[in-house]
Amino acid sequence: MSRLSNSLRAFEGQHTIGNSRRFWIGFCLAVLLVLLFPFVAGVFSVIQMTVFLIWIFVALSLTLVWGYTGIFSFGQNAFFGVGGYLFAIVGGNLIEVTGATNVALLAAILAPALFAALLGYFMFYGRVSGVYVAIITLSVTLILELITSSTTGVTLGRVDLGGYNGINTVPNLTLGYGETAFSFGPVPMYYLVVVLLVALYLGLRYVLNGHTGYVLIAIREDEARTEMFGYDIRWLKLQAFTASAAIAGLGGALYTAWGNFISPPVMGILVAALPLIWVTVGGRQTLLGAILGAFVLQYLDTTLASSLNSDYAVIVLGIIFVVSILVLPNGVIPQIMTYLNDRATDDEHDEQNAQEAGSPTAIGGDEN
Amino acid sequence: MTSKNPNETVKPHCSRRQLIKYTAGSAALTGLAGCAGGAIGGGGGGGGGGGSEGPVRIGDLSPRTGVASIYGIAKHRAAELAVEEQNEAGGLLGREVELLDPDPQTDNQRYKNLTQELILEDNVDMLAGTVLGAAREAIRPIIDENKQLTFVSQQYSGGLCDEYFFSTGPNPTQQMSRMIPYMIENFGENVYIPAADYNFGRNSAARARAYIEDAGGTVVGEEFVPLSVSDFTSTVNRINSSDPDWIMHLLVGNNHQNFFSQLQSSDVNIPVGSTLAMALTADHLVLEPPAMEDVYSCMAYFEELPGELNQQFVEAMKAGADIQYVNQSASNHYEAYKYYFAAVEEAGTTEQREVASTLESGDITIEVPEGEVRMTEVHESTHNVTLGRATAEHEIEFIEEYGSMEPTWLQERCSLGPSDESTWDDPQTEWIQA
Amino acid sequence: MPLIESLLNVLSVIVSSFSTLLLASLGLAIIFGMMGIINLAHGEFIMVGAYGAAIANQQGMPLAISMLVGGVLAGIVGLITERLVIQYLYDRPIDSMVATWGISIILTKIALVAFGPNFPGIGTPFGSVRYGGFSASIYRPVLAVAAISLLVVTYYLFMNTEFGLHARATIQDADTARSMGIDTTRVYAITFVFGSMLAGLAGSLFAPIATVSPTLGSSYIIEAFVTVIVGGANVLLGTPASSALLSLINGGGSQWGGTLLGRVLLLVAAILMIRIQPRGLSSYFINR
Repeated sequence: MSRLSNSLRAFEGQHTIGNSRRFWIGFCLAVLLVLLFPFVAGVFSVIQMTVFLIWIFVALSLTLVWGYTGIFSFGQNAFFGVGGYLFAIVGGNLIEVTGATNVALLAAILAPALFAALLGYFMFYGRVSGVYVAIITLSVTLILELITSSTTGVTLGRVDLGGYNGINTVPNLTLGYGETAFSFGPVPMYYLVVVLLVALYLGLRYVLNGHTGYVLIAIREDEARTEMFGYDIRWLKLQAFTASAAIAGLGGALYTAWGNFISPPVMGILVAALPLIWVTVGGRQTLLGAILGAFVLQYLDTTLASSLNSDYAVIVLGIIFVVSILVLPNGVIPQIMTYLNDRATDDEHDEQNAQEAGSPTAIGGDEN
Repeated sequence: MTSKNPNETVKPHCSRRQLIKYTAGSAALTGLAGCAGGAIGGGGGGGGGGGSEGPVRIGDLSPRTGVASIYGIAKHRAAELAVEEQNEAGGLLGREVELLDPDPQTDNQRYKNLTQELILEDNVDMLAGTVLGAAREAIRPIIDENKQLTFVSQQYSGGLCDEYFFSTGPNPTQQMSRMIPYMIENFGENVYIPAADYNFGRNSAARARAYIEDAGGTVVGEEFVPLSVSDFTSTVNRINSSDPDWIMHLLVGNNHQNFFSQLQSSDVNIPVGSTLAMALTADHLVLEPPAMEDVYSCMAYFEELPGELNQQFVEAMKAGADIQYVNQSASNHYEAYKYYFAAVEEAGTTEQREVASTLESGDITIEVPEGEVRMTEVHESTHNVTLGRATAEHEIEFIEEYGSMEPTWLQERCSLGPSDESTWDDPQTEWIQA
Repeated sequence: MPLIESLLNVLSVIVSSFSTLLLASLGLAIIFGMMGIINLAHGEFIMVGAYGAAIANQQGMPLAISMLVGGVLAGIVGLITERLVIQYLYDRPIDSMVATWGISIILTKIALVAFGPNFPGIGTPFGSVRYGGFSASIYRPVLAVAAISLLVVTYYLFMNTEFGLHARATIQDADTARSMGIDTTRVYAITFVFGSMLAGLAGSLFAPIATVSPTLGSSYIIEAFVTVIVGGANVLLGTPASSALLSLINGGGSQWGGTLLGRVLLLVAAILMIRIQPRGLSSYFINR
């Protein structure tokens, strides 16, 4: 047991929420429930849940680059889109040759990373920061939307880019080789996404609670001071930016494989703003905040839209955004944590008071 | 071939089609998920659908919000109307017709999710209501995989050749093949084509060019305008420079609607021929006169068409909801439902394979506000096409009536129909590029 | 002759683009450039102004009055927004982004529910001008003049009035301003309302050349943000400078290679400008 808690220590730290045994038990329970979900829900619900989870990749990538490193990126959807398109193009072309999409998946992670490296170099080595990064990344996202929308009739290899309709003939995620390759249908896809997401979450916990986490947060808090300590913040920001792009690209590949399609609107202003909304409402400086914000808001959006008269559903959603940001300035999760911590501290104080009251120096018991 | 076996409805939800979808390794898990869980209703084999008991369920995906809402709102009302009328007349084969109408908000991800929900969980007998080609293409793989009978009811650029789809939207053959020669004869052979920069615009422009050149005309200029652009100053300049005799208008969407006003306020008084103006987005009611003067539009339906059936239709449409203009989208959507009801009555069952087979026999003819129309063997409807022109006061005068037009371009290239080339189990599911 | 016509072509597109960019960004320049609120509902304030003008015009009011009505309506919406939401967010720019996003979707939905997807627009006033094969609407240059006039009014307001002095003081250092007796809450509110009114007036002025629909705002918001950012901190000089520069590129591109190119070049130019001069064009005007 103690060896387990020792190895868990690497995943704990002040930069992420949940450093107690209670947390890890709760975490395992949650993961277990998620794993059991397909046994109690129909295929359609599983399919729907999978896409909610896939978008969490984007939310986590944003938390990494913005919540922890302080880079205000409006461009995660650009990397998501590049990853998706690359999976579709490479996968569509190679599936007949190799029978699998291994290379496509790899390409979908590497291409956005490369693209982010170039863009990051352009920005960070040019000392662009703050809201200017947001405008540049937003502009890049919109340019990609414009370009992909005008690819009607353009064919790369066997894949028709489809213009505004996008690519609709994307193969399933298929890993392996030739005859033994495994094609991920809806339920296996769900499990793969869950496994990858848990791995990503734990991986980020590990990194962010270690030395890297301290450096990134230092950059977020005060760039000049961090630089004075000898860190090359341009290089570090570039790395964080590139890593987050790879994560978003992976999300894009999974999304494209999930729905067997990818189209330009994912890089439009409406969809690009969503991850920022999710993590801000959830609590952008925490991983859990990103996860829960992304999941709950997507769920609300979908449920409200199909239950009420959808006009009013959207108004309700807008009101939720406004109210939650006014009432919970740091996001939902930090607020919950503060509340829980305050209660814990109150419990401690109550214990102390009770002890003092029971000690010999107390003057009678009726004074309380 | 019609099986009235009541047992057919009792098959469990983990049906053959699901097992075929997944490779061996995942079938067990899939079976578990499908069988054990919350699926409701009995699914039949390949055809899906709810069986022969209980209400007839129709899934309608008309988007009431998002960029296509101007078409979707009208379509939704038309669907409600069609279903109301059928239920008042005693239902379909004696069964009540139930309309399942979630709002996909013109979002492709939602379209896919809702399509899957309607097919897999609600077991709809018929699906209808995509507007933009993007949504249609996004759900088409799902439709094909699940062999779901689907109607599309929005005019498009032509080329859908899919066993499971039936279209009541007009195509370029019907809208352009007579209008373009008319415009060339009356106004001249030099044509400028401003088109929306996406699939519909580009494909339609290609078709228009072919018709123009066939009629002895010349395309003196062509440009593609992104959907987000609303400033046409440079377009006007290019039109002036190329000096066309008339303009072939193929612009789409809210941002493009003001094109007519900008033309007119820049003193460009060239006639405009269009397959989109007025009948879809009520430009003649939205823009201030005389912006639409001398705009010709060749459509299957205008709200202003004469005839008692149309009058009743327009009144009924405007009664139920906030419909300001009854557009061609609504009429086409209404036709889709009428076709479905007629085919089901003729086939005597809601079994999708049977209904589709009845529809493609070419014998289903219905009487609708635009006149009498017939579903052809290539799964497209004939249309009674009319050329309308807006006056300076924005009244519509009907210049030419071309009567019932067949979808000849598709008939030459697509082999659906009661032939061996495409069957319910071994289907053709193509898009034929112009 | 063709040379002059070509020049007129390019000029007309640039002027049109300039007027659009400047008008669309003026209100945001105040609200974001000066007050630091990332107002994602800016497009919707423009939309409110357009609807106000269109409704007033439909009721028969003269055009100029209708446009003022649009501005005032947007100002009222801005006031309600400021009192209910924005006033709590002046030192929280990121949160203002989320809150205004919520407001943006609420306003869009209300417009759709109340007026439907399409609304009768306003005819374009002032007629046209011809030169040989060139013709253009006079309204566009008039828009440019209107934009510059609004800018001058704003400049005057902020530079030559006591309110303007208080506003600049508050924006520069709210605590000191408060300790000098300035009612900063009131100053913030009035400044925000003024910015909303500018957005509304832009919407009114756009109404004759745009489709009055609930999504009208989405066609202006990106250009507004890009123009304000490239303009930089000095709102009154930077914003027109950046409108001029970006319209040159956008207009030239549109005329030469089509509207898609124009739009892409606009975004690319913004990216390059921010990289070359991260403080925006106003750093060329400020001598600090």
